[in-house]
Amino acid sequence: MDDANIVARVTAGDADAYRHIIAKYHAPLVRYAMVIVHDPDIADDVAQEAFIRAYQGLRGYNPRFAFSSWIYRIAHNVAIDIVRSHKDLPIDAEDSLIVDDKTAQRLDKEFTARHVSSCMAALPIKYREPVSLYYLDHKSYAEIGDILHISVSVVGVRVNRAKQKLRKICSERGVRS
Amino acid sequence: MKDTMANNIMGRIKQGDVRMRPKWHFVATSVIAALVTGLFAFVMAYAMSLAYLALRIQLGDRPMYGARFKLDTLINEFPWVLVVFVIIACAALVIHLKRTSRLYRLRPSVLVFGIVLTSALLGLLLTISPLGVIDHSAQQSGGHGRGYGRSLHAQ
Repeated sequence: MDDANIVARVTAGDADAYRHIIAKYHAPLVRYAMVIVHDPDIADDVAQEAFIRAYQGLRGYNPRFAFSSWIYRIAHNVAIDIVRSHKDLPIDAEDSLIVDDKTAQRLDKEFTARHVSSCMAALPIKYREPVSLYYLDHKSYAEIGDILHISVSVVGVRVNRAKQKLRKICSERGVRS
Repeated sequence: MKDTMANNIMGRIKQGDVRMRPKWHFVATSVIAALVTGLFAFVMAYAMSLAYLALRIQLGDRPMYGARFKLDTLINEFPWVLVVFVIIACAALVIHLKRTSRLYRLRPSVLVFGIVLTSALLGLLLTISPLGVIDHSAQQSGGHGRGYGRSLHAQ
């Protein structure tokens, strides 16, 4: 069952169908929130709050948008609100990103998985979000644009700059491919 | 962790702690956005009336006492509070449009320009429409000044 059908069922009164949405997006949203808040407990709270806000606004969801982009956008807003309200959050924490082997290979095969995570965590949030959505969540530039509310061209610019910064950060830390 | 969260959220939904906002809530925000644009158009029409009168006075080859009087009256009666309100409402409209549509792909400056242009066109239509020309005294005295300069003041 695709997202649109589930949403249609939920808005028609079958609230139990919302469990499918939670099951499908729990892990991706927690991982995405981790990119922003760097704390597993807070990331879980972000995901939970995103699911609640998404449920509340489900009747306002525009099916012309991808549901995944919509719910990621909500998670983005929740996470950014938390970062703004908790100045003590370790924005540039290390070892908080989980990068698998496949993703590390996609990063132009330049970095090892172990070090890429710490290098990515050192990126400013402005670059960390698009690059993690692209490489970790395998989103397209258009989807990233929908999530971050920036144009596709800006997404491309940020991803490329993020890669340049990653190279610089990793070379400063002595990480070699 | 996933099941715990799912159970927690579903429990809150079942108990009624978390409810879907009704459809009218989303319709109402769109209607308010349209009203703000309409209000902006009204203020733009008023501003265009002022500009038109000022232009007539500057370019006229006569003393233009009537136009000067009208301009003074318009300025004195100008709802400045409305202007402040419209600026705030316009900012809210930009935020609303960027959140609920794909207009976020446009720069805010382009979006603001688009809203101003739309409002100006609406204002122009409002000014030249029969709605905007109900200054009976002007019509009775030969119709001098009929047009942009006199329209909304009469209302």
